[in-house]
Amino acid sequence: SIIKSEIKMDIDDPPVIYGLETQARALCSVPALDDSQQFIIGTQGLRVEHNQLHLLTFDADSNSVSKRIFDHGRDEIWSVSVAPHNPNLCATVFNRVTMDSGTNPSVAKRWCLWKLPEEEDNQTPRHRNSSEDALTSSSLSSVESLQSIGSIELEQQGEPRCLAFHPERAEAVLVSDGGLYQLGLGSGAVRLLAHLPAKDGRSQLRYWHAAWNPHHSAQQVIAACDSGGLRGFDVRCPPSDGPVVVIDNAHNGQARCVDYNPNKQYYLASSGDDGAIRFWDTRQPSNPVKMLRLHKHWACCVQFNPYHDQLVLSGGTDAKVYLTNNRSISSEPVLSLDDDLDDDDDDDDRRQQQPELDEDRTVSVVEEHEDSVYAAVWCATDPWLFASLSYDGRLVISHVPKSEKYRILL
Amino acid sequence: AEPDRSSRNSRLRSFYQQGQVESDAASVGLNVDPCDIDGAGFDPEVYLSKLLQEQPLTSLMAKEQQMVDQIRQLDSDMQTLVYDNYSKFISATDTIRKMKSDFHRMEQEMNNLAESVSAMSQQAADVRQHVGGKRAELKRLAGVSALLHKLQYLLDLPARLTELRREGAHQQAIRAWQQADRVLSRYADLPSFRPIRADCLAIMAELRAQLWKRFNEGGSGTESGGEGGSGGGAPDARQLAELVDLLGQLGESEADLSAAFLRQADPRMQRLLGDLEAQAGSLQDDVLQFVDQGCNHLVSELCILIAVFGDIFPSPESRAKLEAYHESVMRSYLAIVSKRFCLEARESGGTGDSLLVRACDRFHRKLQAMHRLVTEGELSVRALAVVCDAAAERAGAVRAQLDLRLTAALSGLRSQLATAGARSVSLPQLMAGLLTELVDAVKAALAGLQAFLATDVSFSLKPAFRERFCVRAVRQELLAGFLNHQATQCARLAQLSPTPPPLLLLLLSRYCLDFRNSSLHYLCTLADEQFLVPESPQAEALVTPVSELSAVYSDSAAELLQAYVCASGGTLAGMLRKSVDARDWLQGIEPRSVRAVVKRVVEDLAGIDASVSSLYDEAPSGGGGRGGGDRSSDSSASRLARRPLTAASRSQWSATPSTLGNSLLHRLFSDKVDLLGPAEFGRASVVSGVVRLALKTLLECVRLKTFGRYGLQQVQVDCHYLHAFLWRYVSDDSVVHFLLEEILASAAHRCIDPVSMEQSVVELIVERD
Repeated sequence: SIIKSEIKMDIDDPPVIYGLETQARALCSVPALDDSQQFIIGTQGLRVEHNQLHLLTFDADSNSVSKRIFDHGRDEIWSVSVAPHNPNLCATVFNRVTMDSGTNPSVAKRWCLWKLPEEEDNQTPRHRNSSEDALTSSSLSSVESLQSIGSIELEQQGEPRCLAFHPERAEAVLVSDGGLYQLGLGSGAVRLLAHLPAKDGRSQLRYWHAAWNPHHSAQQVIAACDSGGLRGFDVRCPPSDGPVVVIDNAHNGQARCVDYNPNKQYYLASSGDDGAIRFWDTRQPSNPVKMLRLHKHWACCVQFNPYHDQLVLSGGTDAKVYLTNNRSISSEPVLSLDDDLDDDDDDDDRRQQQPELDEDRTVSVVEEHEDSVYAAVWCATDPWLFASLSYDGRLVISHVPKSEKYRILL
Repeated sequence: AEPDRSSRNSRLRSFYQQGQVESDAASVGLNVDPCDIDGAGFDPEVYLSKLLQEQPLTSLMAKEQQMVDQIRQLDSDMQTLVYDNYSKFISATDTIRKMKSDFHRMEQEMNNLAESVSAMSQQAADVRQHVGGKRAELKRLAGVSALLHKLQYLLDLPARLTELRREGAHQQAIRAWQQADRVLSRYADLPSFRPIRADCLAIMAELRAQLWKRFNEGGSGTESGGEGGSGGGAPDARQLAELVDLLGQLGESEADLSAAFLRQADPRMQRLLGDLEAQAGSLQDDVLQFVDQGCNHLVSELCILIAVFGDIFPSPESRAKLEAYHESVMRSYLAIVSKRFCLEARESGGTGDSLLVRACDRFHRKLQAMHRLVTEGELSVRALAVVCDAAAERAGAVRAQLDLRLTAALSGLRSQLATAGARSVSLPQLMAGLLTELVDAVKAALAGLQAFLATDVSFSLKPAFRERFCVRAVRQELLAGFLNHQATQCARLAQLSPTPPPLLLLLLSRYCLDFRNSSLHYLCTLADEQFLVPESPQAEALVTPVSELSAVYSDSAAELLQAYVCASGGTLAGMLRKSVDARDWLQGIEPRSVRAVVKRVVEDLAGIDASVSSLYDEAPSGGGGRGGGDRSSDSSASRLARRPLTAASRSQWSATPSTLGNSLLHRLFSDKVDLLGPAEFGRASVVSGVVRLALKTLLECVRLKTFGRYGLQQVQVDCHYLHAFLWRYVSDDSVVHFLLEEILASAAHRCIDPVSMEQSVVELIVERD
């Protein structure tokens, strides 16, 4: 595959663009142990011989990207996720086309856990890409192979969508047409712990995405349904108890993505086909806490910044990625009273000059995409870095604008 | 000359008759003309010669005759004078003679008088000699007699006082005691006076107690005969005043008395207040009656109290006390009235205005009158404030009714749209109906509130009332508030999840637009005129400007329209999504026809187009599509026709998947197409917004599937069909082209066996459908 890495110069924060030759939907941030800024993306090429996983390491000093490539065979990758507790453990959901006797092809969605091979020291310099040697390095890159840990066949599995690793334990939830499957990943083997069928009374639901609640040692998982609702389950309860959180009509159309606020209990965000981002308090599921209508078509993904939860990232099929600051509903204190008492006049002056300073606002929009953005994620190790991937295979690594960064930090 | 002379003669005569000779004056006054016959310098010779020379004979003759007559006259006059003088002289002589004889007699009588006087002085000296020794004794005896009289009075005093007290002649009793007390207190150490004084003091104490008792009973003592007019147990202020006066004479301090006076008056006031308070909580009695009761009893009595108090206790300290008391009563009263008015304003239905206004008016007049009596405490200002509050409350109640009306109208509209199908109702008619209903409701509300401004209403011209009621309550809170509420209420529907019926959104969007254009300004101007809102900066600062409201309506309309596009586009998109999801695109037979759902989408689009065009004109306000111009010349009937399959159109677009290359080229050479931009207020823009939303969704759904050969070909057929029918709904063909191409390209890309159908076959199939 031809990989080009270019640096687009900007005054503030030049986003780094990394191109794939094939279409792509799968993007995940890697919680690297050495705090390097890594993302992993998967190609989606139906008729391509070699689909690949690209592990990209961003180098802030040179503003460039170095990569490692893993072979994924003919199976086109629909989703990729990396375990938070183990950056070498990753899972993909993929499409496998089988041609039986050439005439009657069949396609099946599958999933698998992989172990990324350890990096060899001497490979690093060779793979470092900068704008100068973009073309030459591509030929030099070698493709590593993945080590399969395994997958298990599940009853009534249907089409798997994605796999959500548990934030702390060696567990995961597989999201699929058949429901949520709680998997145990410990001791080198995959086993089914529980199955939460995708049923809502009598009607059948289809889950699209799921997220763990990071609070209270992560015992709850919430899933986005194609009916537009959200269903939260407590894994300690038997599956027959049904959902503990029910938010109906969270979106008009399908709910595409859901994410818990990492710093504020009970708060979560969801996105869906109506293009809206809605923020919910699970204790009051009847009305959203807040709604953003930025995307003009489907809002495919939404994610809180893992450190500063007022920053919310969302990507959509209108080829836009929005970075918003939702201070009013974040865990950040509204405005410290001390400030007011200390320098009342200064504060008033400042607020008059910049009245929007403490209001919720759109911080920046990533305009570099030309096709639908199906994935946008925060870097797991750097709160000021995020990546977004559009269907045409373009990955854009962007920075939070410095002004916003300082406003939050100072 | 003849009358001249005779008059002069008569004057001369009268001069002589007075008997005074003023020869000097006569000689000075005479003329020196020698021809003047009466003058001093008369010269007969000159006169005669002059006559002889000048006069003819006849006149000389006449003159001579005349002169003879005159001379004769003069002679007789002279004779008369001489005779007169002579007779006067004779009488004077007689008088002198008589006086001489009288003097003799008078001298004789004078001598007699002198003798008598000397005899009298002789006798007086004798009497003085006799009486001289006893004068001191007499004087002493007279003094003793007077003292005995006084002592007798003192000794009788207790009995007298008792008598007076029994008779109720308190005034006299007190005066008597006051006179006696001076003596009694001076000789208090004399044993004989002591019991008298003690008795008197006891009686007076009794009297005082009696007075206090009556005072505390409210002055309506049974034994009191005076002022019979006080009716029904009401405390007679004049009697009270009398009592206070008496007690004051008995030496009670003014402070005590005034406090007692107020204390005495208080229970009654409190009872009246209590009665009013009890009435204020309910609507049982009408509000006019309530005001009457308050005015006639409480306020009147308070007025009397103030007047009487002022008369009796003129000192500043008492005045302050009265003010404090008056203040406390009035505060309670105003609070009660305000409560009652507000209740009336809130609870009374649409007919309550005139009654409330009359009640307010009466109340205000009464208190204004009272204000003249009591200038302190800004009474009339506070009364006006109560009235203002009531009026504002009424405006608020009207506003609440309007809000309810709006909610009812909206939900009515909603159900009307839900029950009658989309086709069977005329949207413009519904909208006009809604517009009329709500504008009329607002107008009726404003008209009702005008009762507060009637010219015969006493407070209607007060600037404070105008500011509070006209500007703030009506113009701002009622009108601007309601208008704003209406716009936001409509806009709120756009944000509801699940979304309300799309037609409602469309209708309300147009409604907001029309309201802004036709009614907004009209209503605001109407209110300004009806309520005489001044064009001052202060008033403008209080009122939301029309331009701001207009902007709110524009925003709401745009938001609703966008919501409509999203909702109807979403409905189509949902149909497409479900159909794509449900179908097995991998296995399948060769396509023979366009999928039913695609046809359905085109049909629905026709319905949407019809609805939109019934409310929105063809041409949006600028910024329409490039293709808008030539289509607008088409008649609406041609819109139902399919795209003419001319060579030009075929060359423009083919249903063959051009793979990714084409769309990449498209992207390279065309500006980034704003696929899902905001809809403008025009049919084409709205409908093409719906189309783009549906196609974009189709594209995304296709990308989520994997296709077999025939699956791809089915997409080809569908796209061609769409291409043939969608052109007429969109403002910009190129966007539809682009999206259909993208769909085809994506389908081809997601196809494991990408063999496309012959263009001619595709056309044939589409033709057949």
